[in-house]
Amino acid sequence: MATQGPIREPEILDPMIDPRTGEYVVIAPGHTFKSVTQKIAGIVLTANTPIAWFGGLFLAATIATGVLIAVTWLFLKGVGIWGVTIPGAWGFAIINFVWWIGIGHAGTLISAILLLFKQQWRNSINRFAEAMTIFAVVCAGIFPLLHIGRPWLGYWLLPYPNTMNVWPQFRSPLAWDVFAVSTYATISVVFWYIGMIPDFGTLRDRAQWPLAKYFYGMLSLGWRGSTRHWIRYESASLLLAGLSTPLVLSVHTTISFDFAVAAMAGWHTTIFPPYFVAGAVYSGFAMVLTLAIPIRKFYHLEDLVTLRHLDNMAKVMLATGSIVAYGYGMEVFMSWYSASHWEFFMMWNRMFGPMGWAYWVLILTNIAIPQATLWWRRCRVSVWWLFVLSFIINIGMWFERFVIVVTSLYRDYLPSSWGTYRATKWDYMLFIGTWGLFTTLFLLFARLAPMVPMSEIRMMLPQTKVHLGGADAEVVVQEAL
Amino acid sequence: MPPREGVYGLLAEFNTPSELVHATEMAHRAGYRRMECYTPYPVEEAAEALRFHKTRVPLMCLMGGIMGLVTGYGLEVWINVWGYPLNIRAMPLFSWPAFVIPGYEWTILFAGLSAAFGMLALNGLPQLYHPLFNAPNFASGASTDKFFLCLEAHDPRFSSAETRAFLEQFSPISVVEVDH
Amino acid sequence: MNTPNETRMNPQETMPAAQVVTAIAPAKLTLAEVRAKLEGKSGKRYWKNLDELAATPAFQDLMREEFPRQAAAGEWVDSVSRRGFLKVMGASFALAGLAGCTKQPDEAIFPYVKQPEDLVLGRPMYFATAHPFPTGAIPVLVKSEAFRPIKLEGNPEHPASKGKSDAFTQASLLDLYDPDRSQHPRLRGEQADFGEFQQQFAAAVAKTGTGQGVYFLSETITSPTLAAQWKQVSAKYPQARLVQYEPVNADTARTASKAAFGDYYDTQYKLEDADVILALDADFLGGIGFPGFLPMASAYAERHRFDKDKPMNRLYVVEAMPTVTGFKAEHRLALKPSDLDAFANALSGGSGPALTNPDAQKFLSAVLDDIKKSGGRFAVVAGPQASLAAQSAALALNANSKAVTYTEPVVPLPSEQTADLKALVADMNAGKVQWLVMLGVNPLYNAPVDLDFLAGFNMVPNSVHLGSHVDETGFFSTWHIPKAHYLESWTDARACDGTISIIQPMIDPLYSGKSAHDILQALLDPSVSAYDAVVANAKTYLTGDFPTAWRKALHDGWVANTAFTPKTLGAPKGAPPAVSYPGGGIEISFKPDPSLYDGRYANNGWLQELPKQVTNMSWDNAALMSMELMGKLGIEENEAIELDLNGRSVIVPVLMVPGHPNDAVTVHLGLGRRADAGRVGGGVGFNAYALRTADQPLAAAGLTINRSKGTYDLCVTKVHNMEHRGAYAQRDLERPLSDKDGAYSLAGHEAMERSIIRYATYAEAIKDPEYAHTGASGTLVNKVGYNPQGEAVPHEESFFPDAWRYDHKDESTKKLQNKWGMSIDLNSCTGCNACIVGCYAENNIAVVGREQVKIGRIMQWLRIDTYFEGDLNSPRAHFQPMLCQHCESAGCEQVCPVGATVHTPEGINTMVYNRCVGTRYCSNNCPYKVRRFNFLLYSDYDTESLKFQRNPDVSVRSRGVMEKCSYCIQRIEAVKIDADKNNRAIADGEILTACQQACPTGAIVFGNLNDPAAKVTQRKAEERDYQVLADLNYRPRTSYTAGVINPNAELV
Repeated sequence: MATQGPIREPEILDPMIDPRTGEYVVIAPGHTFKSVTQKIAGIVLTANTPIAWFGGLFLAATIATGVLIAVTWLFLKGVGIWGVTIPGAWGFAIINFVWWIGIGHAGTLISAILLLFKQQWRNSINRFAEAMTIFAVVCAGIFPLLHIGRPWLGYWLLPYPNTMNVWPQFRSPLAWDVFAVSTYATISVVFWYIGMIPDFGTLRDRAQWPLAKYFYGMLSLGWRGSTRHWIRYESASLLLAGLSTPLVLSVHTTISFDFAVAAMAGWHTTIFPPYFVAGAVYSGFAMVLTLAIPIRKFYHLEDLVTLRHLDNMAKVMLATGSIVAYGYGMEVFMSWYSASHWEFFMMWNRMFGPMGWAYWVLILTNIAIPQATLWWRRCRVSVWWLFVLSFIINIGMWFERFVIVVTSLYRDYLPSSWGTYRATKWDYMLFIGTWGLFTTLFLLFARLAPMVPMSEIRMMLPQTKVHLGGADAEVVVQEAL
Repeated sequence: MPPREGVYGLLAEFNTPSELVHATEMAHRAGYRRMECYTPYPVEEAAEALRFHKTRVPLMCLMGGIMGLVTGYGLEVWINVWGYPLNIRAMPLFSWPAFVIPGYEWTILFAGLSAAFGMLALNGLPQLYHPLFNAPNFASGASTDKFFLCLEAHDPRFSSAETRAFLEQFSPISVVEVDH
Repeated sequence: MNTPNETRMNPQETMPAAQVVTAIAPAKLTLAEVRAKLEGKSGKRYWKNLDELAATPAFQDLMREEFPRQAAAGEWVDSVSRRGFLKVMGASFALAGLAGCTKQPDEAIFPYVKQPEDLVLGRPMYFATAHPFPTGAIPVLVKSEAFRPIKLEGNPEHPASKGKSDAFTQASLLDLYDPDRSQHPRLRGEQADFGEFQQQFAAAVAKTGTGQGVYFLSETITSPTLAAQWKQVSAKYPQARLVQYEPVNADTARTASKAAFGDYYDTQYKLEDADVILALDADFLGGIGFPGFLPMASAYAERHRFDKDKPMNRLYVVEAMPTVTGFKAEHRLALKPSDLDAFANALSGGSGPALTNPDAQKFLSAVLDDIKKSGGRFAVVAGPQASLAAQSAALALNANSKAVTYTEPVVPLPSEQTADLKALVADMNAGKVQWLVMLGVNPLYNAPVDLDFLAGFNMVPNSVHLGSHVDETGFFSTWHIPKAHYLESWTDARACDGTISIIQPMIDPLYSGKSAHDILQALLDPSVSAYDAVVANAKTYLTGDFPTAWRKALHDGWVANTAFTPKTLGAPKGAPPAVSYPGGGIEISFKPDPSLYDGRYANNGWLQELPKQVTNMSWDNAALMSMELMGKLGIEENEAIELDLNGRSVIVPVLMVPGHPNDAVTVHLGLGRRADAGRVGGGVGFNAYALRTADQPLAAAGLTINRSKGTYDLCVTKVHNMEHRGAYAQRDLERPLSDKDGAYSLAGHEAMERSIIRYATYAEAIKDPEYAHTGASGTLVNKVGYNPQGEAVPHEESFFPDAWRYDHKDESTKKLQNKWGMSIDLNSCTGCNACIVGCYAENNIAVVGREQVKIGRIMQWLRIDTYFEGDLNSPRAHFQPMLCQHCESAGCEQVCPVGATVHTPEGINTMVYNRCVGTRYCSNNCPYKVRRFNFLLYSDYDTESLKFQRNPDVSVRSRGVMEKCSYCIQRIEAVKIDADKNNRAIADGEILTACQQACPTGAIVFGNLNDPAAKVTQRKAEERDYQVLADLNYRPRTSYTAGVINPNAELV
């Protein structure tokens, strides 16, 4: 569908291109069960860790300490150290929360929805996409707790019997968030771990170092590849996938309700759920690219994570990006069509008010640049461009949340209380710190767990084909009798 | 229970799934029932040969889901109508649409957990010790690129000599006796 | 517990507050000694010792030397850390005396065996007294909780005030508990004893025999008793001199009246009899800075209330700096001081510069016509600080006014203060002054700069300073005596109409402060206390059996039949020569600060933080000028400029003021205090006194303005958002903006477009009483919000119209339940801010400091929104008190995940502080943005004295908690409980919210909406009643009454 014109000479010679379809192959030719296993397990079980990994970990961990410092000061002083004020009582914390959660969604999408749709190519990337989900949720999860005025009472949002006989207030979207996000985190972790059990088995069997053997042995729960186990395992994964799909949609829908349920012009709109979900997937795939491209280069996984994967992910981004663009268009249209003074003023202020620049940054990075390039196959298979673009899109998606949260609040109904929003150094420190945290966790994951699901890769190899010579089966039986 | 003594079964090792499936099919036709295949990835055909079709994981998942829905939604209704009734924005105590999402989330939560842990339970995992791990070639192959068929000793038709002969005819890489 | 020697080291700790001053000042500490004291201590012991150290005055002195800026609470770069410092050093800042309250003394102490019979803990007592102020005392009722005054209210019995009060009076309560008050007499900075002073002083003066060289420099004397004492003193020492000086005084009024009638007279305005009011530089709706503010404001509001059957008054204002009075006026003419004089001359037909400005001429003729038409039912009001020309014009025109009379001055010893001060300084320079006794004045800060008071001061051998703080003057004086607050001491004073109030103490002096009575008495008979003096003087005016009369006077808070008898003096015999404005060019006028007056309230957190009238500036003052002048000089707001007035200059930030006359700059006095002012007032703003000379104390010409380096981010709570909204973006506007250069306030324009403000002219209102809903010249109701017509959704169209009802009947009594609601009349609100300060005191609202206010975190539950309609060069302004609307369908409640804000059965939107976790979602979903959040620990938990002031019925909110107006729920409950106990119904008007009680014009009405007879119900039944943002269908319980103005057709 996305091929532009005839395939050019050099590409035909490229072994990574399937001569029949002209598409890049999902997995390089010439791989055997053993070769893929060795390749992937090797990354984890190798005795000599690359120096670059240590360098990266050190850098990331250093940045991550920003979280500790910022949080310590926050607990000592209160949310007043942030830029939040009245109006605009929500700021970076909520923006970052939505941003990180959104990023997480791509992982679930890849591991669940694409599994349901039997998209084989997902197999190579779903493992670290899921990991990304979990680490993103970890980063996101920090914010809702910290942003409340009295974090030490955060557990009051949970329904638990207590002597005061008070309970949460279930008409509030924030109460819904608690359920949605906690469920999402739990299911994602379970799904991720279940998926890794057989691979832990492999690692256990291949590990030389007794401690590693023990460690992976524990994690593998004694997995031994029994066929009956495999069948139940497959059905469980399928069920989890089936459950994660509505879950991932519901989570960002719920988060969009944080805004849509409130009565602020710019928030109070029915288009939010679909366009939040699309935006989430959009940014999520961008983040997958941000991670996949360096990893495949660094660990030489080019023949497992091929240009085909990049191309497909780019196509998904193109699709979701277009949905998001439609969402923006709708907002503008409705602000005019509603003929509501509130809506009209909000949109005017959003575009041309003191913070109008943010809106245009958003349009440029989320719509203009991606739409201008992703339609061309050459851009979709250009590794460096996708890498750059993945950053651009994530910046854009962050600004989308910034525009929604800030520009809807700082000039609302009563002109007397118009204000502005200016983030403080503590806002930035915490935000940047979470990048460090995310990277740290991911580096640890890359080192300690199989980044690519070996069992699923094996299933993609041609050797899996089972041909039963029915005839000689008969012969054997007779001989036996 | 006391540690079992003696032979657990005979373990035949194959290079390709086809051979495994073939041997399994034959073993089943030959009347062997207490047997199991071990593969580095799910091989549906092997399950066919073992005549192993249905699993109860989906049922457990469904049960979990229903339980979650009832718990979640019931909790909300009880809290808002009886447990802690409040005048919130002049809304009815039973604001049913507002209660949908938490109920929905708990449905998924319970269903997902039942599916995952149900699967492990049915598989008898975690089970860190298994006789097969005693077979030296099992560890090196079963989780990588080799395909195993194990005919277990407590199968009525099992006799180490005949069974070994029976397995040998499918030209496995090896047939080893696995002890408890 | 601490060991004996430690106890000796800090006697304060072991002594109750009242005796602190008898402690001997311990030797100074050095850091080395501190280290020594903590040597070898570790862990708990270390900190304990540190605490004990911190409580000693020695340590405080050390702190001041080591950390001068912090000790004076000077601005830190980041207010967060500054507050942090205050907390950490809390112990050392807390007044040594009251620090004693934090722990029991080590000696055996004994509790009440029997508690005083009149004290029922938890049940407040009310005492009548008065707040003395140079323009006339404000009679008050003091709410006393366990003998602690915790709230001031107007005295409802009093003929002049009728229970109303004002911002200064409300805030004067906080001055009593000011932790920075001076705590003991000082002799050359060292702790000393008052008795010692009495002897020295008396002896020294006695030695002079005639009192030669003894000078008293006093603030305006308001107490008849004090005047009487002075008469005795001058009888005993004929050569002793008394000079009264206050930087903000009534000199021009005095001069004019002397020239006109040969003696000093106070003008009394009966605005209830005035159909036409012309105010010449008179801010009589702004506060008690104007004599007779309370009766005038309520009379004005009464006559300005719209009623088909009674004619409405019309207010013309001619002024330079815009005031709330100017913006309430139907017609306001902005003139720079010299033009204002010209206008005044033309008005009185007097000599002087002719009136050139055509608008002014038009205005003038219109006013004169109106005055003629009114047939004597008019008043020309000249402010106490209006120019001589204005004063004599007023006197001239008022000659044939039925609404103006004259009385002898409220102050017992009227004088022309600036002239007297000049003479005093001359004597000082001539070395004639041996003893300079300064009673409650701070000349080193606020004396006219050209007099160079300091030079003279340095030639005075003995200077005595009686003051509440060791301020600029107290610091340099030989003797400093702590001044008792009026709630701590006996005295008396006259209200604006002359009625005498006896001022009785509510509490034993916290720091054994002394009053001026004691100082003067030192020269007579020291054994006679202030009380004796007041009693003695009272005998002169109390009639009948003295004990009874005395008791009655104290009980009522005023003495009947002591009001002056009004005289009519006819036409003035002459007028003083009008002052000229040499130099021309840009003119500068000096005005008392709307919140801090002459600076006496500089250390009062409530007033410092209070957004100033019109400018909405808080914690700052600035060079206030018009947009046009800013354009001409090419400067922006917040830019630092240098004001240069004949050789003297100050560096000032710029702020644009809508409606300020061109070529003129206004500066507010009273800021720029040094660190001595205290932790609040120190180092805030700039000192405008540095430009003010004795010859031109009100206004001067020849100002030059130079750009200076840098900018200064002014702390303004409401901005004008002047960016221009392009033509294409105006399609939805009912009244598109004519100007394209954005010389208007976007916020103000939006307020009209969104029908937040609604008003009409008198004619329109007569023609269509429904105008608030059908539209008028000042009411746009056709804009489309979420609901066509932008009006309230019909009840049955709501999703759950009757899920909760407020019409339940009590089974037993068949009585309808309560349903609380509020109505605010925008016609009456003058934006005087009294309600805000009242709310501060009632609800323990925290003061957050400049940095926090600047980023929008002010904690006031009630604010007065000021909207500027139209071109900001000559706008019409509207004031709208905005507080929690207690919506029946409150968005804040729905979005709170823990149910921390819910509805009571009586329909009040309550905030449950201890349930709040602080998601701040409620604030986001509040279209009125009336919720306030404790982003940091704003409430002061450390300073002991402030704890005394807190209202025990209102919880002090901690960090991370949302708060908002509660309709004064504690007052509602108190009345309900009382009604239940006595098994009676709650009468209408029995429950007064703090803001309602303070409001001088009765703009705010609160009551039971289920009571058809209630005032609030009737108000809401009026056609003009409307809800703000009604189309959102939040169903607010608070509604507003649309305004009506009565413009003069000739000037429209």
